[in-house]
Amino acid sequence: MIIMQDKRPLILVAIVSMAMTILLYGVGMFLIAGYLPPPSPMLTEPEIAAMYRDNHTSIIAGLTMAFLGTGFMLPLWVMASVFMAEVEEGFPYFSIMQALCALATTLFTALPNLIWLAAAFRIDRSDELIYMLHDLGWIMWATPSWGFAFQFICFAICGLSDKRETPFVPRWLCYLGLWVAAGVLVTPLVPFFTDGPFAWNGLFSFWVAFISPNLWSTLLAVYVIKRIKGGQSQLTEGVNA
Amino acid sequence: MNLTSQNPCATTDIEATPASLETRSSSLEQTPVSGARIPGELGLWIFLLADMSIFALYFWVFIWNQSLHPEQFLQGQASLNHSLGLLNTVILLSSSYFAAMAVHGARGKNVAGFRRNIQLTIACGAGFLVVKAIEYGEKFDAGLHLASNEFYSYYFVFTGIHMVHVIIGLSLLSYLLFSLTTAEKIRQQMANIEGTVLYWHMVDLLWVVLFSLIYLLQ
Repeated sequence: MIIMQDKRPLILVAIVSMAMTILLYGVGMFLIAGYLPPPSPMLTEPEIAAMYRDNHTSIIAGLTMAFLGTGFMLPLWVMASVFMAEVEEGFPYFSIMQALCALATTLFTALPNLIWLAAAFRIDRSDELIYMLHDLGWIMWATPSWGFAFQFICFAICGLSDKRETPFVPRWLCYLGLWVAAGVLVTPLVPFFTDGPFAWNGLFSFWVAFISPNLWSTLLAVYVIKRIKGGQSQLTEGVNA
Repeated sequence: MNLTSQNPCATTDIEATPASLETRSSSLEQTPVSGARIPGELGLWIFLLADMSIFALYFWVFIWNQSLHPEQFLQGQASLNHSLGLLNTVILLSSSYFAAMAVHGARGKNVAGFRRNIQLTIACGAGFLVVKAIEYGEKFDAGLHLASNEFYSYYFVFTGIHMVHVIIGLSLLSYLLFSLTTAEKIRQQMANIEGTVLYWHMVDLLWVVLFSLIYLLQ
């Protein structure tokens, strides 16, 4: 049985989780593959096929790197669930729900990379097939938002129920999480639009629905680290006393 | 789980009538008063302002597209059922009044008054959804849908997102109705009551702007 008295190593886990996600996913998708911001859904079949053929190596390298990065999202979210479970009395329903939804979010972020990798794997296949795999990947990447939404709702319920003298996160972060959950609600509209603010590269479906949860997660990492440091200093003071 | 907040915003009563001062004792028990008191807590206001900012972006997108396709938007507006839109505006404004009266009842420890006004607010919210469903039904019968044109895309998306807000508000109001049955429970949940009603007022305000923008502004 593991009894974790010294929680300081978890600070390292939180930092590595956040840093590796940003480094692998951010750099892979934005800089190397050039997949973020997303290419326009208005691009034609020959344009998309040419994109895969002309940037074959960088697309494969960037997407593989980003795929590895998606796995690093989980440690931070699981840590959040552990802190949430401290608030819940009895069966930690919302903590488990949050962790499972985090897994769903991770899978829906990772799987499109495999589909795009399949599109780039054999560049001599027909334009039509490359085009279809490209669309399939983007629709899978941009449409499912329920994972994020349920995560934030569960987190807010626990955070707002925390009546301890020092709650594990500030209440405003929970409310901000609810706003992020409301902001990602529009992503099921993605399959309806090939241009405009609700298309997969649009103002609401990408810039709001993708950027806001990630900024929020960065804030979460900061407060999780603060919480561990605070808890650790209390523990040390207790031992010294 | 109890979602009652510790209200950090302490200040003077904005509507400081003798009656209201007397009836606010429950909420004041939680917060020392030293100036004007703003209902709800800071985080809730951040949420409301952030949500309204997103809607402000929706409004901007709508106006921008209206300037790109003026003819299409004029035709689209003319095809909307203004009577049903106006009816929904009246329904939501009435619901906001009942919601405010519910807070008044809660502060006065008037359990029956609180519950009656929450029920009326829920009835109005449900009425709004019924009218909206009738309006959507008319459009679908006429062969108009999300992908018909730019105007109808925005009409369905923005009113649909607003409708989701109404449904969330109704869920919160129902939670208050079914969980707060005694004066003591109402006193303990005063911050949640205020928060829910503030949210409901925001939903109402957003509809008034949406109605003006989508149905009326040319």
